[in-house]
Amino acid sequence: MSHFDEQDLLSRELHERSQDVGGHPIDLAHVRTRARGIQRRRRIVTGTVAAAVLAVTVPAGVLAGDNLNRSQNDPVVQPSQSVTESATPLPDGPVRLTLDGLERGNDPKVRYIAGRELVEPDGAVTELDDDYTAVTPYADGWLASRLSGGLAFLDQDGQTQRTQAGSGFAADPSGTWVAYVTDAESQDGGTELVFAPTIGAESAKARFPVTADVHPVGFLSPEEVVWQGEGVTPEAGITPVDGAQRRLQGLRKVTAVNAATGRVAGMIRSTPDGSCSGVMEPDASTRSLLWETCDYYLEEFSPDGRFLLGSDPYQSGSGFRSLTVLDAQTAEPLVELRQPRDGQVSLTQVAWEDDRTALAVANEGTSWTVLRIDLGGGLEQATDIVEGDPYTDFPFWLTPAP
Amino acid sequence: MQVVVGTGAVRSMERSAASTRDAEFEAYMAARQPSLLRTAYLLTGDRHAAEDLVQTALAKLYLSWDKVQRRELLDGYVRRIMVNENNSLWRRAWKRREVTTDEVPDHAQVLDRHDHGERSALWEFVQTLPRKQRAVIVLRYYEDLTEAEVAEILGISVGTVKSQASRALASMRERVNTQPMLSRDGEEER
Repeated sequence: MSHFDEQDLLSRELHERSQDVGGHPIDLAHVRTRARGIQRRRRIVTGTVAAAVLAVTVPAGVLAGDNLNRSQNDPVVQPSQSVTESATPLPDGPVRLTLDGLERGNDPKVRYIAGRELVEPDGAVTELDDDYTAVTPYADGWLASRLSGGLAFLDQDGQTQRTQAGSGFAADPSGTWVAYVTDAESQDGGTELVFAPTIGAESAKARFPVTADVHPVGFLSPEEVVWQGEGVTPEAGITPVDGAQRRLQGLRKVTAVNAATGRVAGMIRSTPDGSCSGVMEPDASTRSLLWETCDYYLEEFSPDGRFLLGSDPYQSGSGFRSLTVLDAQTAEPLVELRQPRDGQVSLTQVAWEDDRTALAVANEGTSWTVLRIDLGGGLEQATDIVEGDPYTDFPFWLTPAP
Repeated sequence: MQVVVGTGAVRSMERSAASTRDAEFEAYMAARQPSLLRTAYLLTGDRHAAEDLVQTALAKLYLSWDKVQRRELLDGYVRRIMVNENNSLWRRAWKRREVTTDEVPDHAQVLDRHDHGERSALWEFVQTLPRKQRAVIVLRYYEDLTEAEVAEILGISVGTVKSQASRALASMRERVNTQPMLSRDGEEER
């Protein structure tokens, strides 16, 4: 084969190979969102974080020559006040994430499970008869998710009354309703999303058929539950108590729901080196995102919806190595927990203790504890250190509100 | 005579300028996106990665739109961003070899003209090339750029372009000798 033939063959192969490559059209909104992320990273790299924080507070159209000012056609987004407009004192730089030398602060002010003890915010302890990952008040006792799978209804002393198939539950912030998915209560054996009043009134339950791979993620309002399917083609949706179901087409995996702002967060897509996530307001659109980022995997909204915890965009089975408090309005990183290059801390679960303080279950080797992170960059232990295998033990589960 | 323009008028002009700029950018993006996506696909070998690469390249172009005075150089500018970004992503990716646990099947399969039960050996060969060598091959034999143009985009010398292309072709020749299907692959479709 001559050189000419080789080049011709190669050229034809490349043209043939690329000819049918089609993709999702990229529009200006996508480009502007990505550009904002790039701009922000550049600012951080050059150490001008303060300028970046300031930039998000400047009204659109004021900065001459700034391509990222909203055009008149952009969707209007003006829910809660941006964090950067508040007087919240933020740390100057990344907070060192380590378990070494931390102060022992107060116990968590949320309900949590330590081993087989359910610990209430006031310190009251209920002994549990099994391993659970989440517990919420229900009827005269508790509704619990079993570590081994399924749901359990416990009495007030933490003893199992009955168990049934189910894939977790969501509780509305007011403590009035829970939602769970089960096939155990259906007359025809089908899987149902059940709205159940926490007083335990069977007659007041509302049921909607769903596919077997669905689990509830959270309440978008007192009467709407966001759910996630885990099938081959994952899908997410909203089921209101009146049954007029909507699909969330802009998110592939919903990870957080906030009733205060009516927003959901979730993963949009996976990428070769991680994932991209975004935030959506389903009442405005079930397709369009308020913003997206490929820098974080979005974990939990603060109760007031103003903050959002972001972890590594790449998730491994052992947890995540960094945690960032984001402004939920703008995706601006406000507090960043980073560990040194040789750091071995893994975070396995996060939750908000209140509107300004987050908790994270952490382990370093066989040492486990719960960390408290505040918006000023403070980091402390909220529990004592306990020993446990870093992969097979789960010494703590955070089960916040209600 | 001094003309005094009020703040409102200034903002109005700024909005108008931004609107014009966005319209220009959108027109460029609409016209060039399919072509950029094809190039990105050849660089990455993966459609999702290609989409991501194009989006990043367009975002960087958007940020620099006002600085690119000569619009005829835009394509070269974007290609350079894509190549550099692709190499950069590759460098970062080695740290994250494990698979994301929340992997989601997303888009439909790419229609592959060569996949009649077996992958094209030639395409597999292209995918084995080192990233920089592959960029040379894509720009030279797909984009049909001159060696000087490739050198300009990649920020390397013409001599390096020649040697990289030569090495790639030599590897291909060697592969053809051991895998005759490479040459048949082309002949069957003539």
